[in-house]
Amino acid sequence: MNNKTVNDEAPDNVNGQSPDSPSAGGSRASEQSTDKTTQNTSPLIGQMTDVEKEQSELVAPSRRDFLKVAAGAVLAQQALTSCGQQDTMKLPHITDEQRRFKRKEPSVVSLLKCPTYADLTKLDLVTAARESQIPDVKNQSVLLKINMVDYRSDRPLTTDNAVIEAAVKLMTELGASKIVVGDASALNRDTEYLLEATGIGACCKKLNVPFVDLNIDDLDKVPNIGGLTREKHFLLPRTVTKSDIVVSMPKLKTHRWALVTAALKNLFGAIPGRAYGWPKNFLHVNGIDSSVVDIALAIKPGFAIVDAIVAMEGHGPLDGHPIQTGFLIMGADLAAVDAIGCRTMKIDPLNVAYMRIAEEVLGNTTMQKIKLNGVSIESVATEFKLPRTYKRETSGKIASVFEERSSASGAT
Amino acid sequence: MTQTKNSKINADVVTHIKRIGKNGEWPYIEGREMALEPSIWAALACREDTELRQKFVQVLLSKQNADGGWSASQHIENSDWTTGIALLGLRLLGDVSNNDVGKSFQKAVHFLMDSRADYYKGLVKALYLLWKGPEYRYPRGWPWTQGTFDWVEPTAYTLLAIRGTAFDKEQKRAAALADAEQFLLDSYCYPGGWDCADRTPRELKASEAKTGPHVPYPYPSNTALALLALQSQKNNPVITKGLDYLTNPAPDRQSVLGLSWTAITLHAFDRPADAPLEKLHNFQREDGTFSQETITNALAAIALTLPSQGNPLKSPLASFETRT
Repeated sequence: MNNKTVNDEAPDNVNGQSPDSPSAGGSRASEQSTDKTTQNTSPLIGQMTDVEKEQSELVAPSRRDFLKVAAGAVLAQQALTSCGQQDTMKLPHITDEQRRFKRKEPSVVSLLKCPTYADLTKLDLVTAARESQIPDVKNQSVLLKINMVDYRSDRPLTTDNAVIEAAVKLMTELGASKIVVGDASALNRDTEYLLEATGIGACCKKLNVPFVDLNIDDLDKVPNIGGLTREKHFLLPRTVTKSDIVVSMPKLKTHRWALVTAALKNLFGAIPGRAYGWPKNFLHVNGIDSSVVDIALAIKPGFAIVDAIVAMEGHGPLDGHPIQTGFLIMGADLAAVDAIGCRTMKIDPLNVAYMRIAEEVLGNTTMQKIKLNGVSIESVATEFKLPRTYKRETSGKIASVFEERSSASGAT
Repeated sequence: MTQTKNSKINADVVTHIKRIGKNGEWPYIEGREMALEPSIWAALACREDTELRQKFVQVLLSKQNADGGWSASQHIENSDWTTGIALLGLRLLGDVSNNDVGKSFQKAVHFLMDSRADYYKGLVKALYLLWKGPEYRYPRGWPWTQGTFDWVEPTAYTLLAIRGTAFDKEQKRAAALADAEQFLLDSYCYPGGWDCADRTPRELKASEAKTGPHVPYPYPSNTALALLALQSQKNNPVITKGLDYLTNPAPDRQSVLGLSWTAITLHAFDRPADAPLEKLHNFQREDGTFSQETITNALAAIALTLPSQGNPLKSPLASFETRT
């Protein structure tokens, strides 16, 4: 998959914005959008940016930037408070150049009922994967990018070992020449501890597949072809850039800043801490939603297997609670996979900002463009409790709730 | 635990560390590309080898950016979080009689103190306070990458590197360092220890820890780094809580990295470190290593030589301007 490494012909920055400009994820719109009814143009007017919600603190590159931001924030906050006005979703302006990345053909997603992890062995995953448009894995190297965000003894934070085992067997049966399991934990630098505590280390050993700590892997520079954030390029682990196929294997959760975390958001965990830190704070500063899509375009994942046998609801990705959901989602279009994931949580994908960007830039999120195999969404759907940062309105819409104070310790 | 046993175990792991390095540089994992962060800890573990130490310092000098900082990778154009830890390496292993070392140190201090968010005044400060409320304080520590927020680990490296040198005396710098210390003190987890930075206000920490939504979950390595950076605040209750967290770890929270950091930190605060060192032995592999990661092996080696070689991270750290 050498085409994922540095490509001098790729545009450094599609929108032409200076990489030094502050909070590019939000300010791009102000420079380019002409439709002010649907686009919030300032990072501080309308819905607060991710990082503001997340930390209520700001590092400003200069006094001038700081002054602009501070003044805007005060005015916006006062206006919202005094008028009781509802936030509207802030989305970046998307160019035709960016839209060309969007998948043209319809997508196929498999929704497989699987009440318990023990039931995984009863599923015909090979057939389901083929029906879900899995790329040809034969003689290819495969990275199973799991979710090992952290460990809590009482909370299902990580991709379950049974799902990892099923995925390794699936890729073996499909003829993969090399299978590697990997992740870059978001907060806890002690990967060997996490492997031990979660049992993922023992699972990999049993299956005779290596685990690669993507946080400290060698690095390759990959252009940010999406250009939704200010980054000119991403430094990605060599295991990611050199694998022929990257399979995103998240745990389905509600997420306190992104609302939902599944196959696309899981790719945050491929970003190496050695270059960006623990947590990878630059992704939040750039805007979580734009970052999710930019990273997906940089990594070009080939497939997704979502662990929703036991999922997490509430204040995820760390402080939520387990919910027995009993299914697995598979597909090659990660936007479509996540759109199905949202609906199984009774969350309209239109309420998830990065899903709306993904619909324009990545893949299909509307049911008209997704063929669903397996069981119906209604047969497995459960209304997930939302993070404290969101609320369901009587209209069914989900709105973010601005918090004056919030903790950034779980910035994942 | 005998000192002889420690020395034998340490000799094995140091031999491994020396074998996988090259010309004063080390990779995160054997056979991979060389990197700054593992080189610093590996060089510190091998600090009795003068030649190796000098080679490492030359590497540091050669990799310093024009702005005085360092970068985590050759692919990174901007100076970043590695500046704090590189400066710490220079302080602990550099030879002050070398003019190049002195100049390098000065440039790095300049970068660290000038790149952080400045202290805002006048209208800007008023607007910020209006927006955030009177309790608001802008970032006071150091970030992982430029333009992002302050976090425990990079802040701790910088404090360890600069505190106690001639460079912490100037009024503005002294104030900035004091604020960084306060940031660490404020960002502890209830009921003790540190994660990456718990920004829950102090008055809410206890209630949120009990009722949610945020459940504090400190890490031994972050706790150790924060404590080491706060050695001047030994009587602060937050320090005591942090030390208690390290002294009484949950059974499922033990690892080579955690135990090594714990031993180094307890030793720095004159608390018994025998228990974590004993447990550390159980993790040694047949080939003498403790881990496949260079940093983890290096910290284990530093921990195991606490009785014989002392604690390089115990205050007062090597006072840069007075070393001979």
